[in-house]
Amino acid sequence: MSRRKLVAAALFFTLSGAIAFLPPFALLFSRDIRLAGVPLETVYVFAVWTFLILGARWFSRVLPDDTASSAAERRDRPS
Amino acid sequence: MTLTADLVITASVAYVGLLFLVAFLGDRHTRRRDGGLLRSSFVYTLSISVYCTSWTFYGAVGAAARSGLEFVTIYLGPTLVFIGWWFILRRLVHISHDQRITSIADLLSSRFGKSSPLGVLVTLLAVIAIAPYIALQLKAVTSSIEAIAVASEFGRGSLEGWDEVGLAFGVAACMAVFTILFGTRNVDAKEQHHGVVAAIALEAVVKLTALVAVGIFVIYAAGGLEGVFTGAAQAGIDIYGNDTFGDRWIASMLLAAAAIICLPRQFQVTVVENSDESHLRTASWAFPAYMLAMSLFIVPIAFYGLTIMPAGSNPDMFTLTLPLAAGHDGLALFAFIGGFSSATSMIILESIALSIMVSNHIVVPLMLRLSAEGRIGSDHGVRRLLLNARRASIVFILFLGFGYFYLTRSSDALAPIGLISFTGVAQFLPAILAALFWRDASAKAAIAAISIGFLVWLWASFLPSFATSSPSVAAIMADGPYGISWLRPQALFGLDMLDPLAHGVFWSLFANATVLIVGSLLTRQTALEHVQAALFLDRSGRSPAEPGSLRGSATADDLLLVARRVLGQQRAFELFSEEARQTGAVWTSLEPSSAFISRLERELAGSIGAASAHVMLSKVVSGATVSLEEVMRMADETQQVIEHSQTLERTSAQLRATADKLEAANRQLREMDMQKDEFLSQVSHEVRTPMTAIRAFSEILLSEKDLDEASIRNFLATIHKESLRLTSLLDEILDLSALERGERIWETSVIDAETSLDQALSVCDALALRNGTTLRIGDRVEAARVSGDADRLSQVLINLISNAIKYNTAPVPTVSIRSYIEGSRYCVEVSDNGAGIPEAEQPRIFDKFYRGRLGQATAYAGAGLGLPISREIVARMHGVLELVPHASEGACFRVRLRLETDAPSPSP
Repeated sequence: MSRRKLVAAALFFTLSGAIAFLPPFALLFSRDIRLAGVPLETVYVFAVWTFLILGARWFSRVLPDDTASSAAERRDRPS
Repeated sequence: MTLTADLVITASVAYVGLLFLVAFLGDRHTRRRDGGLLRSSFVYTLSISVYCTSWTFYGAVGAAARSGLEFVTIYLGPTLVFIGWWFILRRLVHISHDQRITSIADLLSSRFGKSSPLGVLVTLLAVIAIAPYIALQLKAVTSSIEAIAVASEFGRGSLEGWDEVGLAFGVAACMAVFTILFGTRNVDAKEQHHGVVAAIALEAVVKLTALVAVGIFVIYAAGGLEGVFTGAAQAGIDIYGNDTFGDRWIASMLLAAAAIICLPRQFQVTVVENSDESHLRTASWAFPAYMLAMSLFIVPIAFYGLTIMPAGSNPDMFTLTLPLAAGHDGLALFAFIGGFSSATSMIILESIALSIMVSNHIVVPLMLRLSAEGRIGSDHGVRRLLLNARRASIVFILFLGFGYFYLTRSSDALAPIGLISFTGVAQFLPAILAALFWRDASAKAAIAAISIGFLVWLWASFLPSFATSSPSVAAIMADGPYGISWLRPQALFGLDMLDPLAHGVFWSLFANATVLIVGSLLTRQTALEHVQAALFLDRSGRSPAEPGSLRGSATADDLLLVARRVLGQQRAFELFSEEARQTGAVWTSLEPSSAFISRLERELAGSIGAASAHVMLSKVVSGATVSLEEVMRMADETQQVIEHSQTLERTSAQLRATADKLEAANRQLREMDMQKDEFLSQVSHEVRTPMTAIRAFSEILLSEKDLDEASIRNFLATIHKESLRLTSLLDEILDLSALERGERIWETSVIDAETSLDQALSVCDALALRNGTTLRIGDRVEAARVSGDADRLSQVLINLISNAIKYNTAPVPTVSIRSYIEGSRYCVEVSDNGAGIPEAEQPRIFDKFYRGRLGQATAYAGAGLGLPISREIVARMHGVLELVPHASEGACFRVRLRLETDAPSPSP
């Protein structure tokens, strides 16, 4: 994936995390169901949270190096 | 082991002692080696977890017990900000490193044109907004000590006689002392406190382990995770929670996301204490993981507490009271230390961060204003003053927190207090986002927006928290001020269907953002704001010729003086030696370049904030401040363009004028050429007539052999006469052209004009006699001294009189001559009683070769050069020859000459 696409993916990842935590999407899991004794919405919130942490870990490794990126940005910009 | 109040207090003091040791070793460690473990991303992440305070440790459990899953939003917001680190935090850290930003107030003030008012505003509002948060920590520590004292079989021990307020005061006082010991030992060049960060990291480990330990104990005691929820459900507790995902959920998630950026202590650990931008990369997932671990056991602890603790026990203290109730005193002590730890780390860092803001944005500017013309006290004055200011502000901040605690002591839950603070600091968010992303955001708009947001916050969030202790506030809450119901703090403009938290968040941030956007669209940035905005938004680094820098001249000595006062002897000398090495100059003859001055400014900004550093340096650097300098530069460029175009305009005007002149000269030349042609043709014509006559008569004389003597004589006489005429014509032409070219030599002297007139009259007498003309001499002047040539003047007068005689066609011809003095002029008039000169001919009478109608008819016709020559002569004598208009009869010519009044002296 190119640098630009990676950054776009990181943005999408963050925004979809926000959407997953907010109504109306989160309301899908607001039911009186228990999973291994734990209410579904609690399981859902912690599962998404864990998923976000794992995703962030992946992104933290693949997102380009900061100093290199600023150099690249400098190259990109018409001077 | 028996847990008593005395024991926990002793344990707390011992724990603080341990922290102090860690901080001390940490400082030494970083000073000796280059950071090592203490500058790792691991410690960085742990220090960020200062976000989890006793609000998390105690309050989250209470919140979970009261309203279910909602507590988790406080961690989900920051999680989203951290996994999106690339977009906001990375930028923030990068810019702050570049600009040596020391606090959130510094960030905003620096971005908005190093605006001091904005820095002061943000500092004041932060101090006010944080007061509830500090109160929360005091309350948590007090309650936890109380909880142990109540449970202890040995009673209150040495706490006997101390009520809750007294205890809170004691806690606040101790915290003030700790913080002063920890945070204000020195003023660091970059405001980094490695020792404190090490201690905070240790505390992060302690509180997490304590909470996890209590959580594992709960799961174990309840017989597994399922047991916790099943037990709670059986005890009749609603484990599902209704309306979890409502307006309150959204509002508190937004607030938490804002708080992780805007809280002064979070800014301090995340941005200011960051020693390597790549650490943020690790923290982006590790900090959310830390928060997840902290939150994991909150719900079980809450539900287990609700299930087994007696009704009416404080759910905020479950973390502590559950192990106590189970008789696990060791675990309870550990839990207490964990809670204490979370409170101390928050208080220490928050007050350090706030005290830096207070000293840099309020005390230093005041000092600079009060100190006369850059005299900034003794050598160590600034540093000592800074430290004292910070100590004083730490005390002030803690006791502000205590004041809030005192006023709201009757409300019991911890979490709502924290949310009030969050709403307060969230008012900085719009300005920060604008600072990072919107070039046109202006300082005026930012000041207005933050002020408006804060006013709404004070009214809709801060004020209602006093409702339990103040009846008048409760009355305002119910009916609005003076009964104005649409101003009720929790139902502004009648908006009463929202949760109070969401209500306050909505109105304050809505007003804030609207004012910021509209204000920025309507106002103009100053030059410095413009420059700073460019520096913040163009993240590729600074250009060497940085436009925002101070320019002008300053001696190295002056700069060193300032640097030593603020940065300390060693750092200042390091800086100057490095500059000396780089430029290759000798230390003493260092010429501070503008790049060096701006580097020094950044270095100073690291200690006292951008605005203060700027003011301080501009007192030393002679010449203008940046804004003026910058404006001048911009004006200069404009001026140059204007000057350039003016030069162009002038040149083209000159060219136009030259072209006009050339054209006029050309026209004149052509005119002169034409005149010359005309003159030549006239001359040819004049010469031709006598020549024709001479030729004709010579031919007759040559061809006719038998002419009588008389005829021959007659012919010869004609030839002679015509030759004379030719000669006189040529003489006249030569004379005139010489006169016109000014070649004739003049004998200019003071003469008596009357003598010349006498001479002329005597010459003309004979001619008059022959023509039968009467010369009538009128009034005469006795003598008239004029400057000129006597012979020439006679010539003119002869010409005039002879003309008058020759062209007089009257039956009894008379020529009158008179002279008189008119003012400073001498005048001679020659008039006749002839036919006069027809009006149509009058304008041409002085033209060359012009002879009037009458002149051509007479036998004495001359060449027509007499009058032009006369006029030229008179003109050379500075006089005028003119035809007197409207003479009674005939023609009247007048000569006017200037009288010489001075003593007779021949002019050169």
